Amino acid sequence: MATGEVTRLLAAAGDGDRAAFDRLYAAVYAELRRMAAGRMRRERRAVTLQPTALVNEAWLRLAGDGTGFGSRAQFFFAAGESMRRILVEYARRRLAAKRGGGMEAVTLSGLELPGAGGEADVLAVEDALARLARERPRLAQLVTLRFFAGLSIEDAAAALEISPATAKRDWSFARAWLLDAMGAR
Amino acid sequence: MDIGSEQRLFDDCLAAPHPAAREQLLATHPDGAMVARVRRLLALHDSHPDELSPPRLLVGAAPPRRIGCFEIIERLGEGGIGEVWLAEQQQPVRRRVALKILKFGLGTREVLGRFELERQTLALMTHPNVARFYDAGTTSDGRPWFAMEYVPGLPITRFCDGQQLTVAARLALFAEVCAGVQHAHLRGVIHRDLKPSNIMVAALDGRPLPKIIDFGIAKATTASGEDTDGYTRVGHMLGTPEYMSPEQAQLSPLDIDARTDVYSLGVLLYELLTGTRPYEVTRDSFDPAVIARDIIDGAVERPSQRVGGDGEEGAQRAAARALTPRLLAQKLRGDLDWIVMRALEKDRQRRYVSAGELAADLERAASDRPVTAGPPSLSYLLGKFARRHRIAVAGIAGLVIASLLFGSGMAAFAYSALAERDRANRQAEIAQRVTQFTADLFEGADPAAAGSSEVTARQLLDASVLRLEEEFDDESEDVQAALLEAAGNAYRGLGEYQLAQPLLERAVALRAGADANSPVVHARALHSQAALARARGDLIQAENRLRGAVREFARAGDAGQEGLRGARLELAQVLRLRAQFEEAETIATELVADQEGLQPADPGGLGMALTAQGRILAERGRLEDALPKLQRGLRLQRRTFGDFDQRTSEAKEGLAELLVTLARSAEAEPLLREILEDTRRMYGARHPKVGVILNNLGNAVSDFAERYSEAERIYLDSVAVLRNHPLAPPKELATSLNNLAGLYLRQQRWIEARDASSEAGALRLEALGPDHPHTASAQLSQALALNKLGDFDQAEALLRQVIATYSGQLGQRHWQSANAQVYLGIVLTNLRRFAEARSTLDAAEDTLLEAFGPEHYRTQSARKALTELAAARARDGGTS
Repeated sequence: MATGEVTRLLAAAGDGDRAAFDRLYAAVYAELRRMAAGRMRRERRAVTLQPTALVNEAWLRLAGDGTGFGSRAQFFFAAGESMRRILVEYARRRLAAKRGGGMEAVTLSGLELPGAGGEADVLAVEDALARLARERPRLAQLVTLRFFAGLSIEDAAAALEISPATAKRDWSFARAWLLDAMGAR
Repeated sequence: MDIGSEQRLFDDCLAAPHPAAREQLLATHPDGAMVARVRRLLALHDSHPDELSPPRLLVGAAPPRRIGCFEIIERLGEGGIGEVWLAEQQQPVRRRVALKILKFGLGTREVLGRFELERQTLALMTHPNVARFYDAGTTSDGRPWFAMEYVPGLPITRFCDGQQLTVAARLALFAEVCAGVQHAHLRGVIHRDLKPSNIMVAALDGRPLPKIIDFGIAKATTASGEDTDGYTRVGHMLGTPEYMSPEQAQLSPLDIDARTDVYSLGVLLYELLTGTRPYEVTRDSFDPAVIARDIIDGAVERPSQRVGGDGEEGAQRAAARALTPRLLAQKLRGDLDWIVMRALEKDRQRRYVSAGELAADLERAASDRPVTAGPPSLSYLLGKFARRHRIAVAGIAGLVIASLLFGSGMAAFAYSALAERDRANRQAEIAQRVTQFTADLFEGADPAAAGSSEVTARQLLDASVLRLEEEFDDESEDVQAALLEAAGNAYRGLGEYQLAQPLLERAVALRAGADANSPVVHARALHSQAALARARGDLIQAENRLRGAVREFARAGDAGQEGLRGARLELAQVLRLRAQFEEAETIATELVADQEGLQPADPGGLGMALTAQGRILAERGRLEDALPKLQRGLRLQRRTFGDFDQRTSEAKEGLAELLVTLARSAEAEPLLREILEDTRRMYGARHPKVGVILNNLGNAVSDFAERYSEAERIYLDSVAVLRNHPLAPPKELATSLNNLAGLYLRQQRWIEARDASSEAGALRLEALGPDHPHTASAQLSQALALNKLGDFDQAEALLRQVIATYSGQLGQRHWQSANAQVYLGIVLTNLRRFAEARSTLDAAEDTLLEAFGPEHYRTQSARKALTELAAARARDGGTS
């Protein structure tokens, strides 16, 4: 997908065009997934994929720099969702591989959330997040932006068009809510 | 629930300026369910630091198919420092190995450099309990790898729980682990990361074989310690930091030595015995700083305390060791507690110096030899005690203290002084020092000096023992041992078994060090421990230690004769309490004969032997034979020890109990009141012994129908004393409850009778087991109540069990079997199984006639049952 096309989609999505956002999402997802897989193929050793780094790289590839934040916000919504989906796919595949005795080694680490192991963590976050999205969609979006697209409180607040103070409060509550939903003590 | 308003309350609480304001918000909110939820969320918020750490995806490419001379087969797992693969070596020998490939970022060159130093040493380790080290190198992409023996199996803790291994079997496995660690220590190799996942148990020829893996790895992969502090290190332990020693967790770590591994072994032993770790860390609330602080400063519960509590988890953990929590606690109390705690000492100078020494102490404990692990210091224990008991029993006279010390403590020294003439001077010095200790007690007895109007024996003793501890270093080891033993025996006399035990054990440990080869010293120590075990209610341990004491005294020849008589007397008594009447009687009879022939005569010793013999005969149902023995025993003991003496009291008790059984309550009652008075003076009104005596007095009084309400009051007093004293043996409470049940039966208060007897039965079942006559007697009362309440089937089942127990333990012709048969006859009559009822009652009447004669109320009750059977039969005759 050409850079110009992405820029156009970003603008349209920013204006509330749902179809445009869906196409943007498909593009961002495909790009992130390709990058992650490529990195795995290229490296013969274990690598650590940082979502934030991947997302930033994808941004540069797809949209180039120089677009205003309004457009970028749409990109990060798409990127956060994509990253989340990619991580979940890997986690599911890894669980299946474990059961089937496969060799691919994928581990998630760095989650400050409870659970038995890395894979279970990602899937548990996913389940809890889906529940949160049903009850408080804005909180779920905030978590996705912070967690999977790596946005700061301020950037996430701007993307959601809320004040940083509100974002901070929402983040505190969402974090506790997720911990609780995942059975933390 | 509205998550929006939930968040508003949550937000307000976070915005509250101080905790009290937050609490105010929560306390005044009307929706209780929401408040509870918000509290939980706030706790989660507060306990989980807000660090945004986005998930990272670690993607490992497939490893090369070969590493060195190893063919990769499959991935076994992943740990904190790398991945483990199963691989096969083809040359020079074909074998399977575990290949550990380290992660990147661990400083490859450093790791290999450090490892190179250890490599030769590791290759030299050959021990069945240590996984062999084969080779090390780097992969083509530069990651270090180690190849070691592949041990298929389970981590030792999971293996033990899965197999529900007993404590003894666990200790046997643990001893092998110690042997493996010791093998390495002797070669200068420290493991540094011993934990269950590094000790795998595999079955070899059907026998479990523990193997320690990863020797040398931790040292190679841990930086030397100058650049990281303890918190960071704890944080970096990806597995379980709870096995890390205090010196490893410290801010400026000390050099690691063998004692570090001893600590980790202590944690492992703790976990094997109790199913928990000294400091529990949940992954959820994982905070390295807290763990490090616990390891460095936290207090650890003794294993027996950890398992003693109720609750489902405790029951499960005990069940995994084929025990109840209470029995598990009992098993751990004493030696095992002290051994574990010594291994876990924060200050490594106080730990065992090697795994071998730890194993040796466990071996000593298993064979009932004194262990070297000492309990914590006296002041520590007394401090704890003082915090526990704010109220003490007041008003004990100095006389009693003297009697306690001279009666128990000094007696031991009197005979030791006689027995070892070659050390007479030494003994005299010790005796003098102990006398001084006693004199100090008297000095403290001045109420003004103690700063209160009343002074208790406990306070005096506590103060004296503290003073003793201060002056301790100036004393020689055997004086220290003697003083500890005197104080320990004094505490035992006061019923403070938990305080007595460590003092006595410390005395034993000192003696063992000073004079390990003298059988008399060893025997005396065993006797002392046995007396304590008996006082505590652990009769099995008491018996074992006494058998050990008898053996050792016998080995000592002439020097051990007096001690031998004392230990055998005690053994006879313990056997009686364990219902091992045959052996008990044999020993007691031999002792009496022995004492009768003694020159010069020892009237006190003869009196005690006669008392023991009489009590055994009474338990065996030979009541008329028992009576003269007990009467003569008491006369001799009164003359030798005086009216007011613990030993005389015991003789009074034996005689009084028999008189009650013989329904000669009028003679028993004054004796019992005398004993009650003695006991109150000696121990205070709330002591468990008082509960026991009250029970016996209740028995005497309840034989008079017009005094039932007085008897009920006495029993209820007894139950209250025994229920409320934390150290009262449950079996004594069971006795009072059972007698109370009997009284209710006589008053036809069936429901109260059923409740009291079923509680008594449950307590006895746990304390004594199903085949003990006392368990049967509670079941008997229960059966009577159930019969009256119309539950005949349950009553019959219980009675058949009762009769089986009595016949097995006491013989077919014992009056107690007959008594139960009478009741079975009544129940069978109610069930209209008349022929069975008739033969049962006939047999019972025969036995009772022989035991008590025709006029005794028990014989009468058999006759009455027969009459009722005939009547029931007549009523039924027309219809059947």
